[in-house]
Order: sequence, then C-alpha cells, then structure tokens
Amino acid sequence: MRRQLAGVGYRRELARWIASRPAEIGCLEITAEHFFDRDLGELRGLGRDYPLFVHGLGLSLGTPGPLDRATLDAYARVVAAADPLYCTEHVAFTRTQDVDLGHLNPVAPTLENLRIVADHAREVMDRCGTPMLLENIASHLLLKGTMPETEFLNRLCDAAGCGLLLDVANLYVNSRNHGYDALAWLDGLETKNVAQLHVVGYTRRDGRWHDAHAEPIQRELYDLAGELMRRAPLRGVIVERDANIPEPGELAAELRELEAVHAG
Amino acid sequence: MPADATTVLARLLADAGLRAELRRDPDALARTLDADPELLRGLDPSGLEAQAETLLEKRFHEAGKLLPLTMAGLGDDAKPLFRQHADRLWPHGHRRHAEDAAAFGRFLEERRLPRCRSELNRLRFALGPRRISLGLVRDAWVGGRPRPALQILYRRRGAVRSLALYLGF
Repeated sequence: MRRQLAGVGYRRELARWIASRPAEIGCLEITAEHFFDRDLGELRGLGRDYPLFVHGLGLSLGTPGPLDRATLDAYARVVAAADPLYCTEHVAFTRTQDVDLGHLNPVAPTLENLRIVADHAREVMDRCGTPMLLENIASHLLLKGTMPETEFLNRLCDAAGCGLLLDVANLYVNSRNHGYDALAWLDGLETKNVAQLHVVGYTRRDGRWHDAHAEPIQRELYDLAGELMRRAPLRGVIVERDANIPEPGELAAELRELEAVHAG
Repeated sequence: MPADATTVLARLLADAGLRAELRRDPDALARTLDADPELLRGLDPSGLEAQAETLLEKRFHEAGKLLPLTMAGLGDDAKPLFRQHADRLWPHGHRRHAEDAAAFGRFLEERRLPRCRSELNRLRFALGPRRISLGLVRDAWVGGRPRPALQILYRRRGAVRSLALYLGF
C-alpha cells in the first residue's frame, strides 16, 4: 500500500493524538530546538511510529563565519536520536555576532552567500551523516542580489549536495507581498530537488500577507501544493501549524485533503 | 573592510533608531555602521520595517505562549509594554523565548505592573537547574480562576510539571 505522504509538525498540544497513530498521519516533523533540553527517549519512540524529518530553526546557515558549535552539537544529537529521512534548515540567518534576532531573515542571492550557506549545509550533513533539505523563507524584505532566488536555490543544491524543503505558504506569501507569480517562480526552480513541502494557511493583516502558521490551509495553497506534488519527487508534506492549533479532527481533514490533491 | 551585509542588516532589524536614520540619511548611516553605502541605499525601508515588526510579533507570540495569563491580564497594554521591553533586549540561544518571557516578567515587576506570579515561577523554574520547588502563590489557576495555593514545581524526564494545592475554602 502507498505510504501516506502527508503528516504534521509535532507539537505538545497534538502529542496524544499523534501517539494514537491515526491513519491520516503518514510522517512527522519534529523541531530540533524543542528537543534540545528534553529526554530523547520520547523522540526514539516517535521514530518507531513514523518516518521523521528533523527541522532546525537556529543554525543560522546564512551567517558568515563558523556555525555556533553548541547549537550544531545539540542539533546533531537530536538528529542521531531521531534517525530521520532528512534533516532540514532554512536559507536564512537568525543571528550575527552582535545579536540573535530569534527568527528567520533573508540572505541576498549572491555568490558570496551561496558559498556561505553551501559550506554550512555541507558541514551540518558531514556532522549528522544525514541528507539535508534547505527551506525557502517568507520575508517582507526583498534583498537585491546577483541572481534570481530560484537560480540561487538551484545552485545551492548543486554546491551543497542537498535538496529543498519548499514551503508553499512562504512562496505564496512572498509572491503576493512582492508582486510576482508563484507558478512562474516554480518554472525557474529545478523541482527534482524538492523532497518535502510545508503547508499552512497564510494570514492577512495590515495590507500584507504573513506566514503566521495560524490559519487553515486556503484553497489556493492546496492548488499550489498540488502543482508541486505533480512536479517533485516528494517524501513528505507537513502541515505546519504553530498557533491557533486546531482540534485533531480539523488537522486530519487537512491531511485527507492533501492526500486527495496528491491522488489527483 | 566594510561590515558584511548580514551583520549590517541584523543591526538595522534590531534597532528602530538605526532604521529611522536609514530613512533620513543612508550615507551618514553607512559611515556610522562602516557599511557599503550602496547596500543601504538599496534597502527598502518599508520592507525593512515590516520585517522588524514581524520579528517583534513572533517574539510577542512566543512570550504569550509561556505567559498566557499575564498577557491576558495586561489586555490591550500587553503588546505596547512588550514592545518597550523588546527594544532593549535580544536574548540569544535556543532558550531565547523562555528568557525573553522571563525578562518581560522582570520588566513588569520593576514597574509594579500586573503579572501572574505562578506563571512566572514556572518559567523561572524551567530556566533554572533545580529539580523541585515549593512556594505559596495567590494566583494559581485552579477551577478556572486564580486562587491561593501551594505551588509545587518539579521535573520529570526533562519536562517541567506543576501541581497546585488549593488553600482556600
């Protein structure tokens, strides 16, 4: 039987539902930082029940200079315990020597940043012994570079030997805030590199689109996810809710809808 | 050698004063930051401001998850007060959200503003090394309302657990 493609991000509020192994959940994504201070036995248990993806938030691959040693050590411990299909991080920076901004910020698509992110991604993969996927972020700030974002991502995959985690909501939000066509953007992307999707509803506030991870998936995002399902050799599609986390029944319905989109 | 673009961008995102200076005189700011003037002239101030606002929103959201009763008690004042706190401090590391929320608690205490003591106790316990802690509080959430209670905090398998023994009648 074909394995379910869709799954959820592991959140404490969903732990009981996830532990009951509902048929709708085909895979699970755990956030590495959530387990830095926790018993990894719980993680090994999740790994027995589901194919896992380990998702990082704080490695700050786009920061020039060495990776933060303590963060990399903790991330590698979580990856070792989870034994995931892939470990993942963002094409972004979260901190510099001066300040930890705590969340994701863009790096300009330049050759210098390509080298920095690729070197860091290779270091993470060498350390963890696990293939890595890099994720596109949403940003209100569009930075000028020396190549289109899609070319940057294509070349990054080649340079680092990694794949892509394509966040559908981030792509949609950026396309609306910066006025471009999401499907045309996808045409520039080598979708053979995309192995995982993130999907969550966008939020509209103050005249802008936001990736607040707080809304049900809208129809246009299902459509965009479906386009990627047709184009990319996906291993997992994760519903990534962090706020207003709904009852399991609502999430299960979203997972079933994603499977229906996948089935065409 | 000028500061790298990521370092400059981070400083701008963390400092509303620098962003205001960028709008007034990017060349002067480039000299102040030892940055490439072309880089600063190429930045979209409204996008930069929106990105900075998003960082603040995300911090506020994370703090709210750890201090829901405190935030509810502050009502509409919660976000402006958090903004005052957040402009002065950028915690770092993977425990930054908890440290941010704990620092916001200190900010409220220093100003004698409403906060939920039992919630702050739990947060501080989580950030500390102790395995168990007992204390009397007036605002343990029992039966849907704050009540005086003996608050017991302890760790099990790395996770913080709490019990409240209600002392009322």
